[in-house]
Amino acid sequence: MIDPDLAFGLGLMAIGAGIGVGVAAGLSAIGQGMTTAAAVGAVTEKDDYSFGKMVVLSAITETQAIYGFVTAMMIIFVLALGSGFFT
Amino acid sequence: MFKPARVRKYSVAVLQKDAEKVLSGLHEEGIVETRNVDLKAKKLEAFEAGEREKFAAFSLTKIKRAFAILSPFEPKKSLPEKAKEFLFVEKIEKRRPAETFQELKKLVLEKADPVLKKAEEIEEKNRELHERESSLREETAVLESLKDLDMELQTFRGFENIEVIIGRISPEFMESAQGEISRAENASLLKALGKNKKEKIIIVAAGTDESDALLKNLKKTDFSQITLPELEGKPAVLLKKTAAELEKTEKEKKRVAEQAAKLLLENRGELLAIGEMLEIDKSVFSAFAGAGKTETTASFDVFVPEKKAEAMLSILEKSSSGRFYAEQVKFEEKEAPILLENPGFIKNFEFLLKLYGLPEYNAIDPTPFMAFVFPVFYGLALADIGYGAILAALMAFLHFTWGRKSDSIRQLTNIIFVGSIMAVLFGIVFGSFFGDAGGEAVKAMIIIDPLGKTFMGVNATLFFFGIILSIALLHINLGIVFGILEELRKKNIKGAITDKFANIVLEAGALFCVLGQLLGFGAVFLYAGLALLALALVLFTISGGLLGFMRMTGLLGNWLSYIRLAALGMSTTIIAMAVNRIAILAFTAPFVGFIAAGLILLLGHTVNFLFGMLSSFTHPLRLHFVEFFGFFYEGSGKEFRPYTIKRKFTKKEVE
Repeated sequence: MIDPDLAFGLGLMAIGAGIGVGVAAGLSAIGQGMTTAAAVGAVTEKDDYSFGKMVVLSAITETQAIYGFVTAMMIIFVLALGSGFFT
Repeated sequence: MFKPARVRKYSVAVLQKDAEKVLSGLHEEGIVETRNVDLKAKKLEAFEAGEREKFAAFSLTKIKRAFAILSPFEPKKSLPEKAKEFLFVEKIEKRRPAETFQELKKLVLEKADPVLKKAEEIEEKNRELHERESSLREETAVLESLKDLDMELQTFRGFENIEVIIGRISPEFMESAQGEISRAENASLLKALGKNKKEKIIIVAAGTDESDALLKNLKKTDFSQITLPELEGKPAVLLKKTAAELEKTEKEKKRVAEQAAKLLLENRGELLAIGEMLEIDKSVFSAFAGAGKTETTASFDVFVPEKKAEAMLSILEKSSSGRFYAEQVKFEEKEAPILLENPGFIKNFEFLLKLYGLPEYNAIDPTPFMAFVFPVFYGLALADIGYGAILAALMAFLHFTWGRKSDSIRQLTNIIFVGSIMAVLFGIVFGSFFGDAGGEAVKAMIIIDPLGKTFMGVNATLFFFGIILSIALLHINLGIVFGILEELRKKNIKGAITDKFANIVLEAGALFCVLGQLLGFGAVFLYAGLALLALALVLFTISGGLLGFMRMTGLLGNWLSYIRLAALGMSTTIIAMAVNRIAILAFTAPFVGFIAAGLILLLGHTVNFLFGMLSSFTHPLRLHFVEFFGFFYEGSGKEFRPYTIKRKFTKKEVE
């Protein structure tokens, strides 16, 4: 039987991790949509820009989603490990 | 390997009378890339387009026109036929190309021109039939509206002072139309047809002097005038005649379409072969556009891969009977065309590199490293025995079918095939078979379970992340080392130290800090680490100005970016597990449980597989293009474009 306080804390932790990664990924996706649309336009208009350059342009905003994921993982594993739930 | 192929630049001069033969010989072999001659520097004159070039260009437009006319008449293909055409290579009967210009001209005049003439006759006939059909359809529509009218159409024509207005109107506007008619001095409603219908036909007689005004007023309602066809007789009788005429026209159109399809079928091979000969002729002569001439000689510049230089000189010798001059000339690095020469399996990955851009002439060709790392990243991102096996089978199938059509597709299928094999291997390591569908048999094989609790006393997920980040560190540092080598090649020692080596100083500083602070190696390590971090900051500031510190967080961002491989691998497995759980729940439902479960499994795993397949390709590609290439690769090389056109419909007999 898990201690109710610990269970409540873990639940809040899970919600926090979910919001963290969800907001970061969602906003990153919106940004990526904008940059990719612009990059596709640039590639279409100029032969000098390759598909690879388009990927680079559109990848810039994507990193924020990865930060969100890493933060969520840190919330879960660093804090949860501290709680002793995983031991 | 590791660098683009070495090339040589030659300035070639031949007698003008040999030029065509020499260029044809080089074009056939496809081992050189022609470049424009600097006419001013060499004091040469430019070539003007000759009769032959004009003939080739004009004849090609004629062949294209014949295809444009006849292709729409091709019988529509069924879905299996389309799939077969898409996947399999069509067997082509290759024809012997014309040896001389006269022979080519004769082929165009005797084979292509008559086809175009017939095609144009068909086009004209078809146009007439279309016009006839649309006129008949218009007549049918009018007659259909008037079919209840028991009067002959000619009754309404030929009056001197009266004009008959016929048109459609909605029943709700009838009253206001009648009002307009009664307000006119010399007008009366002769007939209103179509009782209890959505639309009525009204026939109005009006004096010629006021018919325009009445028409204008009627149009204030939804009245639309009908122009009577120039026919004589009662509408019902005429309708039958028109229907018969329409049927006849349709039959005639069908016959013309069959005639066109037959003409195309009988002549397609011949036309394509002649078209190819003309394209080749045009392409051979395109070199003259960049060449220069004196009174008797023609001069052109070519790039040739070092390994093919002897073959090129031998072609020049043979085709000019020894009357040529070829001088190897110096060239600037940025001028050189880029030809990658990687062996066997590695060559496939040139496809990925070309998506970004080719290396410069003396820069590192990263293809061999991509060939090693990309499949590992692909495998880590998909990491499932079931998905990997299906993908491998799919790629093997596409390799031997669709892949035969193009080098790029074959290379792509090869790359994904190797990636899918890695996905199977990582699936075994992490114990994923369509998620957790493998049961105890797969569980027994698991080496690391990223979703498990512990591995070697450490949290399993963190251990998995650790593996990914270690691979990332190796990959990034390989990029940094290449970056240093590239800067040294460009003799930019300052850049090599402040822009590239500073990253290694930063990593060393971070490592020392971790050893000193977190792992208890002592304060000396911590201070040494801090000193190295400060040095890195100074170096980055020298290189990038006041925003140099951003480079420090940039490196951290690049490193953490690799964690996406773990995220993708885990999410593929977790989604597959979720699909399995939902299917199990659905299975317990009465009567339709097993059907619902089957559908959920099929749909869920198909979607997960497709997303997994796509993201496992794009994310490793991004890690290469952004994180890895960012340290050293520019990709601004121009591809070696051989002076040739590959023959598809013709084949030269070997001498």
